[in-house]
Amino acid sequence: MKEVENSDKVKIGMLLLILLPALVTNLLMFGVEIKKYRKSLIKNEVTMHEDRFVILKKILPPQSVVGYITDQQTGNSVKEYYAVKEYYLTQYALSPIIIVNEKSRHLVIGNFHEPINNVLKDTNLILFKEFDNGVMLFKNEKVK
Amino acid sequence: MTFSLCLSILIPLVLGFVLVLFLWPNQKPFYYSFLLKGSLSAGLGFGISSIIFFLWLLVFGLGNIFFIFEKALLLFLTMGLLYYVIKTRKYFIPSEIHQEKHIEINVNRNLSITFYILFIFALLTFIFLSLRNPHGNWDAWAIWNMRARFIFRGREHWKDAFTNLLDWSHPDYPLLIPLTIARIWKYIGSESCVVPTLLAMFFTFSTILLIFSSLNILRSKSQGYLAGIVLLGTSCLIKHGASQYADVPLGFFFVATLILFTFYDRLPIKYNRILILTGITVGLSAWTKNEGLLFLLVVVIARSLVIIPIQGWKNFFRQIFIFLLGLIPILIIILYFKTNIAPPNDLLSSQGLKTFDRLIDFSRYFQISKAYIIISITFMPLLLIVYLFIVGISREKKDKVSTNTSLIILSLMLTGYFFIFVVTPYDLNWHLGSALDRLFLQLWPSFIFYFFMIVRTPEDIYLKTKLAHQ
Repeated sequence: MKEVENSDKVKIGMLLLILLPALVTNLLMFGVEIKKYRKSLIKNEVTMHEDRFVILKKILPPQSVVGYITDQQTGNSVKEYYAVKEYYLTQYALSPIIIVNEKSRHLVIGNFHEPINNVLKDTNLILFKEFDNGVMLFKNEKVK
Repeated sequence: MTFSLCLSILIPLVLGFVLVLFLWPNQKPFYYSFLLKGSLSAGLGFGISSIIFFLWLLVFGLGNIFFIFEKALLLFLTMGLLYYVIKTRKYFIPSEIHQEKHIEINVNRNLSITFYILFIFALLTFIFLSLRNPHGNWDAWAIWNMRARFIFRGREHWKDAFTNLLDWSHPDYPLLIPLTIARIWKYIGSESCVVPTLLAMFFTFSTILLIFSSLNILRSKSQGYLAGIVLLGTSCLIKHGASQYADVPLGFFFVATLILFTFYDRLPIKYNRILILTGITVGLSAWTKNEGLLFLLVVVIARSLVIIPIQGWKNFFRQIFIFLLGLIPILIIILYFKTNIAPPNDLLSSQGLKTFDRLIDFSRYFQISKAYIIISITFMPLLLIVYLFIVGISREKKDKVSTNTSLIILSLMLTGYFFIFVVTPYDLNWHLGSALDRLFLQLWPSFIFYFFMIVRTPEDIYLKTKLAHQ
């Protein structure tokens, strides 16, 4: 009789502790993803970021090392997070060109979201070419 | 493109399958335990083809001739090994590996329906996640796919990917994932996001099918289904899989190693080729991520702790020697990469006098323990522990060596990760927050395999119930 009770316990245990939680998690995740997919943009953020750099990529010398400047490095932690993310995404978009997060290179990529006022202060950067969507290419005449 | 894509994936799959057939205990039909062999082949095939590609890159660079060579080589290997398998197969009795108590219970049907429904929904979720993020998440595009781009786009300058100027992207990380992606891109001639997505899908679902099929053989049908259901209900496994992170492929090689040890220990006649296969899976784990090197050390320690007291030193060294036959070729390649191409590891190179200060700072131990407890709760083992109390443990004598090995490996890996956090030069809070869940995820499939190896099977309980009635 005890073993019969045990087999029922196992059935309930399997149902409550394994099947039900797995079903709920799995189906909830599916539901959430469908919703997110419907709401999502036509293009994802990585592709959108890459699109901004398509023309620049064509004119940069291959296997070069270029600098990088942005208006997001402001000390604001949220902006800093996005600054780092965009820097990494820029490297991802422009590989195998190596992008270093500094201004002391002959060519420096500018990635801006607002009009550039003070960002270029105290730098030796001269605008070489301006592209769409806040992407610019500068030359640092002091570095060859 | 579709044909090239299929071919580029088919070659490693066939190579992996033939290798598994060659090193597996021979059984009557070659399709015997097909799902188990098939799931093992995916990881092994991709891993070995990435190594061949790496050697070719080192010697000849990224020319088109590689693909003619690879097709010819793999065709030759495949034909040769298939011939060997057919010619030399000996008939092992399946029950030497299989659990004898193969009884059908009525609950199996419900479990199988649940398993297949969850499998379909998990697959759909994976596809929707991938459609939304075709480049994967942060680590995928900042590390793995970016490295693949450097190799594919850089051509003869592919080593630029390992410059110190990109130290934030961990250029010392091993190359299984980037090389596999770059290799397939080279086949199809373009950088399609489908490639890393498919690779991630192969590893995620092969992990689930590997555990499902091995428990099906080693324990019982329902036990295989239950383990599969738990994994399909682990949201972070599907999410991180679709994120194209290397933690899921790493977890695949971890659990494949435990499963292969279990098969080796289960057989009454010691079939040494399984140990070679185990050496390969351990090697490929270290070729996937640096944590694989810790795993390699842990596996050797765990085997020594289990084998020496029971079977003696002689047996241990014999096993380790055969294990090294599979491991050493891959280890040489990893060492070459680490010493000649990759810059030093950031965690190791930044150790110094401050390491000692961190080691004696007990607040760090407390902080890490707290994070371990919190992350353990989120991985749902509490429900499994309750299930364990209801059902009970049934560890068979023949599985004692393998289950002890698994338990020690899991414990030592957790301890190893713990001390990595203790000595980390990074901000501890940030490091725990960004890495701990993924480290647990690497071990989660292995834990599930171990758990269902020791928990009583429903068949066992129903059999006893039936006997009690009679």
